[in-house]
Amino acid sequence: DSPSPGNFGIKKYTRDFLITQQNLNRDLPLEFEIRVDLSELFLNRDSHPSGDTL
Amino acid sequence: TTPAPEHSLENKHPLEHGWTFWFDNPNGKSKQATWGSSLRPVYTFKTVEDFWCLYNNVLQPSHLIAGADFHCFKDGIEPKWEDPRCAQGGKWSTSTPRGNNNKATLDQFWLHTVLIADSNAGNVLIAQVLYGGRFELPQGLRVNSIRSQDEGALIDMGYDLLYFYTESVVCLVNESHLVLLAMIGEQFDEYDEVCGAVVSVRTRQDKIALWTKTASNEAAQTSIGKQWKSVLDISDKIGYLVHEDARRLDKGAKNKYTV
Repeated sequence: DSPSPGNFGIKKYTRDFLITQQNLNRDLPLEFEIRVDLSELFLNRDSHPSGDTL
Repeated sequence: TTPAPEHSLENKHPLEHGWTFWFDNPNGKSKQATWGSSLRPVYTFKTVEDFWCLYNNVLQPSHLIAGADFHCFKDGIEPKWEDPRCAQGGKWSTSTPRGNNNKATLDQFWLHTVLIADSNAGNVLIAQVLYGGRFELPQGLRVNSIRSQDEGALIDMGYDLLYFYTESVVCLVNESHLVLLAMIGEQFDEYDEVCGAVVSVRTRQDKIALWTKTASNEAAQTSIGKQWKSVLDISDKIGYLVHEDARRLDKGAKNKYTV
C-alpha cells in the first residue's frame, strides 16, 4: 500500500539536493526534438540523442 | 514474478506540478508585431531529472541575445497577463546591470529563482544537511510545534517520523541525518501563489521577475518577495508591480509593494 504521489503533502526538494542532480542529468530527454524555431536557444552538443535535428 | 516498481516515473523525483519553459525572441519581428506572437513553449518537465536534462542543454540567460525572454511557468499557465491565473496577479522583479562581471550573477539569479519554483515551496531558502543524530536550531529560531500528521508522506520521501514546524523553519528528521530547510513566511500554502519566473535579457539592464497570482494578497506577496530576496541574497529594495496597473498605466505604473 505504498502511497501514491497524490497522498503527499507538498513535495519539497532542497536547493542543495536539486543542485546535486545537475551533473547526473546531462542529456536531452530522449524524445526531445529541437525545433528549428528554437535552435538558437540550445547549446550545440555532439551527444544530442537525435542529432539529425540540430 | 515481476516486482512492482518502487516509485512511479521511473524512479525520478517528481515535482508537485509540471513546469513549462517558454522562449520568446521577438528578433526579426517588426516592432508592431503583437506582443507574445513569438512566444513559444519549449518543454514541460515534471521531475527534477527532466528539469536538468533541459536546463543543461540550453543557453544560460547571459548568452541569449538582447531582447530575448526565457520563462519557466507552472504547466497550464501561459506567461501572459491575459492568462486567467495571472490576470489578478503581479510580479516581483529585480535587475542586474549588463556587463561581464554581472553575467554570472544573472545566470545564478535565474537558476536559483527557478529552483525555488521547482521546489514548489516558493520558500526553501537554505538547505543544510547535518550528519549524525544531533540537531541544533540556527540561532534565533525556535520550534513552535511538532507535528506528525504527515508521517506517511515523510516516510515516502525517505524521512522518519518527526516533523518540526516553526514559523520560520521546517526540519525533516531522518535516522541518519537531519535536513534543515530554513523558511521565511508564515504559511506553507504560498507556493500556490507562484505562477512562474521570467528572465529578460536587455541591452542595458537584464531583469528577472517572479510572477504571482493574487496581487491583492499583500501578506502573501510581501512574504514571497522577502523569501526571493533572501534566495538571491540581495539587499536592495525590490518592487511588486500589479499586472493590471502595468496594463493601464504602462510606464506610469507604480509598485504596489516593496520589500
